[in-house]
Amino acid sequence: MTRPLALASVIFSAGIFFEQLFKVPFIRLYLLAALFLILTLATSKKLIAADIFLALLIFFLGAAHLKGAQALAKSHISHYAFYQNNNLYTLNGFITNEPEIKMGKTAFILRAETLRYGHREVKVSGDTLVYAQPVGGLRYGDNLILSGILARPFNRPGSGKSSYRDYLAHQGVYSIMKASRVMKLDSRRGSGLKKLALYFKNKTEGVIFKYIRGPAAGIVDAMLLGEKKSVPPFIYDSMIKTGTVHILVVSGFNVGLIFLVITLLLKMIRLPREARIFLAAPLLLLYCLVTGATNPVVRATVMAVVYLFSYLCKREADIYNGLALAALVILILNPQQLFDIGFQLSFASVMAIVYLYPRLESLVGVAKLKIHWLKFILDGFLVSLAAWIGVVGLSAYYFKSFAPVTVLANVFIVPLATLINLCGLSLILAALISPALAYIFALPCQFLALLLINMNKFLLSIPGAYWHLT
Amino acid sequence: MFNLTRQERQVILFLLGVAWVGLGISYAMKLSPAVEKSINADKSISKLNLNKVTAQDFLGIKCVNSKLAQKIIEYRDDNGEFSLLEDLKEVKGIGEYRYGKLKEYFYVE
Repeated sequence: MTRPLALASVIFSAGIFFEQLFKVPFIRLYLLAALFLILTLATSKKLIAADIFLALLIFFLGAAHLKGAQALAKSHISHYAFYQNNNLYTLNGFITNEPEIKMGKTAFILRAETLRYGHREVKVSGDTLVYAQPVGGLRYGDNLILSGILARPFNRPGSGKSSYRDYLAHQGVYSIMKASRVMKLDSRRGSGLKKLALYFKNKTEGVIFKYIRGPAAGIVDAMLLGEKKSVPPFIYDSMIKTGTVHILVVSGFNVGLIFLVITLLLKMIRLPREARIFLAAPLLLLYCLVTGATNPVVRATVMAVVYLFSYLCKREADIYNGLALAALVILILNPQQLFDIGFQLSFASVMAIVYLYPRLESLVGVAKLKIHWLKFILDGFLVSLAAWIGVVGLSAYYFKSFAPVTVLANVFIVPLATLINLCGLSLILAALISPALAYIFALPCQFLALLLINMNKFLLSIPGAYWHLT
Repeated sequence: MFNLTRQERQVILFLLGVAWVGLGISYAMKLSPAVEKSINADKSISKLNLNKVTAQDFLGIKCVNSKLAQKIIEYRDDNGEFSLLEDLKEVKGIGEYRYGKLKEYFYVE
């Protein structure tokens, strides 16, 4: 077995899927896992039997892990939330994400600690989503006291097949507080590393919005930092239709670029190879935190770190094993991510590229081509085609859309997005030197982002570019 | 003379290229208001003109289903072009909440 992690990851995921379908009690799964652990140890000399028992052990561990993650502690805040509940609660806790303004309200996730209702005060745990009237100056790590109504999210259908309640549950949120009063106590909670990451993020966003104007700023912000709040919804929806929205989400593509820039800069200051690897890995992890550690970024960061350390250990990195390790890391942290649309799209597209692209390339005979630019375009087309084949089924199922234009759109839009990313990074570096220089570097960014929007608009206007499935 | 590696040369050339394009755009913007307008384009590029929108354009906009799209077009056909975006609230089925979402997608000109 040359790819043990890939097989382990598939079996672990199958166990999670099995549990989601059949809802087997935790204790049975736990005992079955224990049984197969003993059998694996007992048959360690009989290789085939030991392998089968090991596979079953991983399968039931996956199932038990999901059941364990879904079980809520007795003190969990969601036990105090009901569908129809107008009682006033006072909640103490701290903010665990970056607050944002949604439809005129401040929204954030609060890690609950103490709940007061009537004359009772109880210790609670777990996260709750908070909506409050716009409050300025709230940040990650702020310790708050809130008053308001606590409720469970309704099972309102969201985009595609999953409901809003399911979406929140996958994030570990089972209750919503509509706060009428917000009081900030201090800002001493939360992780220092995440605060540092958010500090860099805010500084970078400050530069982007200072020098780039209009919708172009939102596009650059999304591309560099994965922050979609400033992308106009019409542009975002248009990019969903052409299948190019992945460039607005920080993904493996961005992590790859950042990795390239970091290693290149470290090489330019003449650092030895080992030192470059040891510095690049934490910088990538910091970028992962800056962009909110979403599934595609975690996937790409784990793969990049695997690549770096395999290079350091003089071992050849296997892309399937790297991908499998990334999936395992995400699923061990939160097994419910297996049912997240972003997780499925991210892994399906990368798997399709890794598996299909070399086969398509040899089928078409790209390597034999002598004209470089034609080779470049054909390569882009085949990567895009492979990714599209990987996600077309999921896209039709979840978004009810079928977009043949995706393949063509990605051939043009991905190179353009690469340029915008590089120009955006140059802008950040230029802003560190001088505002006048930053202004000069911002204009190409703005121009390219507008070109991207217009190109997307044009591609969408091609007859038969996009089909809305009903 | 500069004693640069190939990669260093590429990075420096890229940065100089970006600066060159930036200088060119900056100069063109000073000379021509049309260039300045197109570089600083805002709503015309990020929203749809409600008076020119077709049923096809509504496809895939999450807050508008096909029935509502039809109602908006019928309202425009019956009452003439929208003069204000707020007139959308006159269309049956559009309340304050939905209007809040629609104004992110449309403008009136």
